[in-house]
Amino acid sequence: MIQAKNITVEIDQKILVNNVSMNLDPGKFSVILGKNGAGKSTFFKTISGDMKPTSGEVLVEGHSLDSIAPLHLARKRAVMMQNLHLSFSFTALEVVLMGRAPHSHGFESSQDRDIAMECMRKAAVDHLANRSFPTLSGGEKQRVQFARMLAQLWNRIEEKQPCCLLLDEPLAGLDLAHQHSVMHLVRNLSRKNVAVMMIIHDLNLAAQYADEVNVMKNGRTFALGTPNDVFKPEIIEMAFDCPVDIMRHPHHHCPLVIASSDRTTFKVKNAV
Amino acid sequence: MYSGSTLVKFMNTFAQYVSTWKSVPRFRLSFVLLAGMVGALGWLIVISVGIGAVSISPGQVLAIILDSIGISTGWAYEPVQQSILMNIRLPRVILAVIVGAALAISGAAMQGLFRNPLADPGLIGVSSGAALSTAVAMVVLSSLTLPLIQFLGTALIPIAAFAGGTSATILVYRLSTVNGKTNVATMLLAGIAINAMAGALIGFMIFLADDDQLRDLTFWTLGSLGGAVWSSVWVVLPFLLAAIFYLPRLSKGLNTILLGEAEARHLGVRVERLKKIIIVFVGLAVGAAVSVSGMIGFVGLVVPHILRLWIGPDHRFLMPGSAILGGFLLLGSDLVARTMVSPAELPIGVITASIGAPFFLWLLLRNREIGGYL
Repeated sequence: MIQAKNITVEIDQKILVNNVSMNLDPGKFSVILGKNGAGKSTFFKTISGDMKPTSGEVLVEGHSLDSIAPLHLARKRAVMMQNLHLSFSFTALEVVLMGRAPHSHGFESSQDRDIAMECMRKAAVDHLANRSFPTLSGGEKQRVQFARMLAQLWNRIEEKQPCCLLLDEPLAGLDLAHQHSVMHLVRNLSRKNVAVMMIIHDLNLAAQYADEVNVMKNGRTFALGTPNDVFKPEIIEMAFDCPVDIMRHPHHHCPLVIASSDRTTFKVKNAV
Repeated sequence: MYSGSTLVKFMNTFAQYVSTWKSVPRFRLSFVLLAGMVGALGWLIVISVGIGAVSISPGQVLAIILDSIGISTGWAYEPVQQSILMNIRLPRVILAVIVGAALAISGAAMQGLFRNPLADPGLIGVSSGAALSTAVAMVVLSSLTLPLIQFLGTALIPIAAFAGGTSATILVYRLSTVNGKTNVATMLLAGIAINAMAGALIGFMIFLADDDQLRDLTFWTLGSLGGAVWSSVWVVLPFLLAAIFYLPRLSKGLNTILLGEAEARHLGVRVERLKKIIIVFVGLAVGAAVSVSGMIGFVGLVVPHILRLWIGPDHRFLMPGSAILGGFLLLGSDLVARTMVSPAELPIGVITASIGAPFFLWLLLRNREIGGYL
């Protein structure tokens, strides 16, 4: 669906992303991991089209990202970015309805409203529909945003057509239960022919739900593979500069990463 | 403006009443409110063409207008009433409505574009560019005896204002656009710089001006619709109507821009194109408005604010609603301006600012209490 080929981003002679490639395929749930400043968000922005790579290219279904009409792209690709700042008092439902913008002319139909409400139910925010968006808590805002992504891709998901969902830290501010419900929902989406790419900080959520993990360090792909391949102590310790123990999840049998806290302080630079 | 403020109060109560009625979605309520405002505007138009030194009843207004388009009614009116209505009141009322509408809709568009409910066309330097070129025209150019200036005569001031307004818009736009991308924050700062520069140069013009010019200039900066004649209406009409009827078509894109420019792009909106169109239309409309009516503050700022309280931030209602309410408020203000101290006339900017400034402060206080914008 989306191919990022040899992406390099250089700003002021500083290389932020160095020759990173990634394929996002329908049915695959990919996550990007890495410590702060590893180049995750920059790489994400080149794929979302918000930043032009210095070299390399992003292809959507074989066509260059720039050559696709924005409306056409919006119908099959949704992007959830960090930190939405909205100072106007739209209701949560109106925000989700904006996800229907690429599919409707003028005013949304009652069908669009039904879709928006259904998406809000899936994201467990239907009870907030008439609340003013700026008054919601951080986690509630994130979930409303997520419902907007669902509304945007709804037609494609229903028809099982390939489409793409890019999520930059969608779990920020979510409580434990909602973190898992969003991850669960995203994985189910990926099973319905959606290509998913997500930036995430929680290694264990990645290990439990993702199909493919791209661990970045210093702008490069440090490790790429299934969670079982990548979640090895030597890889994770090097990538995050943090000593870890890796165990097995008692129920899901996926890797479980635990920071060895007694040794952590020695490895982090400038630790007090 | 007794009748006007009663109406505003009534509509406010009405809006509060209906918004407690949960089963009605906000957008159906908005349709009702827009229809009500259209009715109120029509009513005020008929009332205000009849009020003045020579009064004309609504029936006579209708008769004169029908007669002039060839439908004979047989209702009695005096020739002086006809001439006052057709040559003095009607152009002035039409101008008040379309200038108010264009200023308010430009304000709504700017607030959306800058994602800031406190933005105003004056902010990006359009008004002060127009003011500066008017000052130059009044003080320097009018004392020259060039054939071109002689030829332009009374049209000199409007043309200068228009040119100044649009060139300020283009300048701000150029300053803030790099590689085809317009940076809104830079644009705001460039607007501040242009406002300051224009202010300094206007000050210099004031220093150069003689007493008569000084008086003209002062009154012009306070705004007035007193100079309204058909010829000036025809000149500015296309620019104002273009903004009034085209900007609402961009509402959906503006709604998504409120989420952020990148978000709007991901929803399929051609953001850069949208920004350019809005800036051009607003620049032309505000330049044209300033050229016929001088500086009229606060309409562009306050009108969209009032409407957001009533119908929410959706531009699909906010834009047409702003046009209607802007026309209504400026017409009402002009009615007060020309009748309160009759036969003299108050500058209309005095009325709009004395209503607008306290309202603006009230908004700020209210926002401080609820900890956010509307």
